[in-house]
Amino acid sequence: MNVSKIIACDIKEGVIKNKRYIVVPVLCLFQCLYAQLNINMYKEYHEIYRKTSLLELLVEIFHGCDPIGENPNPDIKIIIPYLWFAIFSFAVFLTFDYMHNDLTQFGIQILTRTKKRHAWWLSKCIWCYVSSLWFYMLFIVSTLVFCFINGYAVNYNSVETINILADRSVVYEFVGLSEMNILIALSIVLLPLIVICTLNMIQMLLCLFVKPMYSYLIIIGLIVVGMISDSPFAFTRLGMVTFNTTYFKTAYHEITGTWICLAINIICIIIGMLYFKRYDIIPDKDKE
Amino acid sequence: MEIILNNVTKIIKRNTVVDKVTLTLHSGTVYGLCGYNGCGKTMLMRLIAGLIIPTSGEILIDGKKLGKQLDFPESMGILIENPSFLGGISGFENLRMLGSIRSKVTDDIIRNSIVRVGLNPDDKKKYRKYSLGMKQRLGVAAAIMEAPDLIILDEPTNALDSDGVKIVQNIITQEKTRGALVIVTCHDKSILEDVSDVIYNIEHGKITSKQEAGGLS
Repeated sequence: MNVSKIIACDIKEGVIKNKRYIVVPVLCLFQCLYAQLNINMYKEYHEIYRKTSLLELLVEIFHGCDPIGENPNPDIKIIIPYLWFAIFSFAVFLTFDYMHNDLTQFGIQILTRTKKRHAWWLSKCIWCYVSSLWFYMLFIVSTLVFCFINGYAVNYNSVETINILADRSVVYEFVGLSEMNILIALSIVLLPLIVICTLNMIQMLLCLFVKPMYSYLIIIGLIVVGMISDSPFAFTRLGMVTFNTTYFKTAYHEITGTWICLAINIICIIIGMLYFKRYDIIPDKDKE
Repeated sequence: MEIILNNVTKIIKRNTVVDKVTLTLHSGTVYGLCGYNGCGKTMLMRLIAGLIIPTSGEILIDGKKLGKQLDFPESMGILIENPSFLGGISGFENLRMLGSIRSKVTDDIIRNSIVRVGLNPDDKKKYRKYSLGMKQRLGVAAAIMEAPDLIILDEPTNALDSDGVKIVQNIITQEKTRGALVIVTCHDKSILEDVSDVIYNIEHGKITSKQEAGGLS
């Protein structure tokens, strides 16, 4: 049996032919326009007249917020990052029911031909990462197109502007960047992707236990937890690319967060594999 | 091929859907499952197909325990409830995609399977535009195309016209002659009696009687 054929079929049906992905550039456009507005406002206030860069745009898009639960002054209202929330909730929404639908429809034909349940689950895990990557690539490419259209710099990064954009906390003490290096640039680009992959894996695992809509609501809850708390386990904070220890003292530790995400992914794969071995493949109506 | 069900029980949400079923099934025989809606026919098929795991008891396929030594019967074609394929491609392309998983069938064999169920293998119509009857025929073609040792057909005559029913009846007989073990359910008892060598009557998940070609035992 060739697992690669199942993965290829899933990618074709669940990613390439998935019409929900059409919305990604539209979502990205809204994010970019809103970020552009904020960046221009900050730059004008600080009298910075350099070109905006791709990284600055990403910093603003994935800016996030202070942990609302840690607000030291109730008189100061922490602005809820609706657009940041929209990216992560939409990233999971795109494929939230694919595995479940596949398992109760055409997937039965494939599954019974694969002979091994664990091979099918592993192929779905690979598909899950590919679909997460595809969403993120579409998002980044759309951002790049926005940069080109607006004449923004792609390879130039201003530490000064990034520090200005990042320095918006009432909870933590700002440290800021002294210089930009490849690791920091990579962290800005990759941390949201790690969170998206982790959320999608959790969603897929939960679909084995509850209906896709319920598991999606749990995912929404996890995203919200990241907006409220900065506990290490509120891993969705990792997707707030500047609210971490690179920029703020005592903020969310990005290395710990990355390890926690990695651990969650491994746990999801293992639990899924063990549970799916004894999983009853029946339509929802027969489970009730 | 020999399938043995030893005291198999399946409980879903405190509801016993299959209750202490003990059966032995052999190759070259057509077994019919008969009973009212919701009596447990489809669940019994799902158990044999390895799609669900017994709560108690065991299922042996050629001596290998299903769920432990085997996840699914090694050579099986299945049509369970409504057939479901990829909507954006033709019937032939769907079967070719499925056939490529095991790489056991050539394009000619796939074409022949489609012809056997009365469809046109050169029809470029996408699956989503198929009528219910055409979908059902394609489902039967998918179940038989790899000449499996075990064929499970749940209500294969659903949505078929009288010609379609005859075609399915002929296919079941041909597959039996080839040496396959065929398990079939059908709401029309006369069709079931025509094609089956043995009919098991099921009520409340239990086998209540066994009817062999020629009388009730």
